[in-house]
Amino acid sequence: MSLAGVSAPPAPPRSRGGAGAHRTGRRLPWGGVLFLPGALVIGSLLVACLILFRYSLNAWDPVRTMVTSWTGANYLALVRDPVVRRAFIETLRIGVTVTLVCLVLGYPVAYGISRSRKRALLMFLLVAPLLMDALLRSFGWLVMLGHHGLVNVLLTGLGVWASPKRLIYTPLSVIIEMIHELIPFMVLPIASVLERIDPTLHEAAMNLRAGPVRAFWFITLPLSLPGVLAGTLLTFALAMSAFVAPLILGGGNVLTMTILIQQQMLTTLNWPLGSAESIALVLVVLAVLTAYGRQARRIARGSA
Amino acid sequence: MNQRVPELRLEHVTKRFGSTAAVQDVSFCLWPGEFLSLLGPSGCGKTTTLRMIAGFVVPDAGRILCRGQDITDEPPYRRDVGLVFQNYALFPHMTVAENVAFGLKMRGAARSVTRDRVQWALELVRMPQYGTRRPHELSGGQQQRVAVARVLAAGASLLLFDEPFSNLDAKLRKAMQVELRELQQRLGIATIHVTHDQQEAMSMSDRLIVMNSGQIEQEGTPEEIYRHPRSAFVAEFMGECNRLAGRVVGVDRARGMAELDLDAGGRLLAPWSGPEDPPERAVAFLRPEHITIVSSGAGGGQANVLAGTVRRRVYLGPVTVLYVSLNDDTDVLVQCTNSLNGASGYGPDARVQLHLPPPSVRLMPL
Ligand SMILES: Nc1ncnc2c1ncn2[C@@H]1O[C@H](COP(=O)(O)OP(=O)(O)OP(=O)(O)O)[C@@H](O)[C@H]1O
Ligand SMILES: [Mg+2]
Repeated sequence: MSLAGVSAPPAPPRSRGGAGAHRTGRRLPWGGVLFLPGALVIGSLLVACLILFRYSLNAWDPVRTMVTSWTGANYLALVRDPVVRRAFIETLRIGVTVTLVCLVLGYPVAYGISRSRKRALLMFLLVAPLLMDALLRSFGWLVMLGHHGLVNVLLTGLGVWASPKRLIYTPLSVIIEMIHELIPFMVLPIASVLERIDPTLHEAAMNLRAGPVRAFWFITLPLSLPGVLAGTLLTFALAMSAFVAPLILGGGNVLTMTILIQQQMLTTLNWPLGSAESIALVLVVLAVLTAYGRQARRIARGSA
Repeated sequence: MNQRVPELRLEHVTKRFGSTAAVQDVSFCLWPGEFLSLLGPSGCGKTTTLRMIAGFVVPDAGRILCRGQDITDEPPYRRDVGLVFQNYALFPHMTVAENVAFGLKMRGAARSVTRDRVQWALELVRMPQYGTRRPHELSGGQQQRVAVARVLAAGASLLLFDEPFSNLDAKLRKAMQVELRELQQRLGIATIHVTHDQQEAMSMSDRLIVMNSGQIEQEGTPEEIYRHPRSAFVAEFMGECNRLAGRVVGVDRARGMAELDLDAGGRLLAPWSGPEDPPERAVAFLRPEHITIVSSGAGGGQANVLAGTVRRRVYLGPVTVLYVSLNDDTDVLVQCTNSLNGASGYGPDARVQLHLPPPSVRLMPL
């Protein structure tokens, strides 16, 4: 749902030279049909959001559960409840951490891929883990990070840690799984933008006495910012709405908004409050994305 | 021949890519203030040579000296060589002024110095009012001017152009050629220009180097190369050229002449000053504009007069080109200057006699 706010990374303007280097796209007679699947997906998401919104205005009774009504009580409860506030902060903390780590780890990977001759193979290897179900991957990490898991065995064996540490059922394990899951969403947009940067620009910078580091800093990096923007938006949105990792690897110790909503919906059966929390999550994610996107675009424009 | 230190000197420079030798044992000098063109067909190693001078390609063998200093192993960012890329390579996220200031910024120039020098460079290329534009808001010719201003502002002591006009339309190309050449002469900055356009190279350069499959075929002034090509390749690359094969039947050492019995019939006297005798079979090269039509009708038998039939006539404005078939159907191009009275009157199927003046003939081994 929050993905709707993310557009494809804009192509960096190329210095092709010559006026009128623009390509004119040809129109397909049935071009409109191509939008149909997209319209269906977005449309059903919008309908789902509308239904949730309507539910969030209903009242709740422990016995009769949802009672049709028009009330803002759920939103009021949301603001007042310290548990909700903590869950929000936890979700944001995890989302921001995952996004930053993905960016720091993913940018060099994207750079390497964009420079490589085996680009197609590397791209496939990068995306391959996505073919695995999130549930399976989470259980995989549960085993790896467990008391007798690979990580503990290795680190105690090498003498880094004196004794095995508890890694699972902590925010750290949730973050690790989410980084693993989401890093392709950071790498792909950055790599595709980097790949389209004219390599002669880097050479021109070197010709003007910029060493490799400064040529990267002043030319390649600013030109790759659209990819960074798309990657961070995508990763953050997905991290904020992740559910499987907090459920499996959080083991009840990591309370994110998604877990809270699930409890509200399925355990307490308080659909109106759960709906209000869902709507609030969507709005917060959208607000963060919009503010960040605007800021990032301003910086990108000013960095020249 | 020259006491001055050359701006640039290449000594036996060689570069291979895998099994292909892109550049092979190339040596030449670029003198201060000189405009030198590297000319040759596609794939002959012009770009590779230029990229070695700029430092983007490391030669396998040989040395590159800049004002007497060996720069062969210097990285590109420590050379004072300004390369103007074929696609101009302007930084799209910067304004024109920021593009031009980039080299100064990298040198750590003071802000006021940078501002003055950017202004100076933009005025040189006649674009002082475009500083705040973005590259994509400029036409091709304007982008090229900015690219030139950018390397000038950065303080390049030497300019390199890789096919700078190939992205411009014919009219603008002519204008930019003149403008660039004037600017280069005004600044007295040594320049190497790479092109496969023979006209462009001749009209702009002090000196030409003709390259063929990685090697230098000939170097000299445009006139020297056009009038005295040293090889068949150069003769044919530098504009239209007739080639007539034949058997050498005699050499007159005293007059420095050889006599050729042409396969197409007829005899041809041609200068021959080589120390050794000409080979048994040879080819005579001569330019279409050096041939004159002496009379219509058949006849002849004298040396250097050939009979033929006009097959086609092409009117080109200042000149008319006649395609004349000789007896064995070899075509000879004849170019006649059109006078005030109109074009020469010979039309298709006219019988003509061609005069091939001996000094205009270049004899070369087959
Ligand atoms: N990076 C490279 N890798 C492999 N081969 C190369 C490379 N660069 C050039 N070559 C080869 O070296 C030869 C010379 O290439 P170069 O680009 O110097 O030619 P050029 O004279 O500039 O031709 P053009 O007029 O088409 O630009 C060509 O055969 C080319 O295929
Ligand atoms: Mg080239």
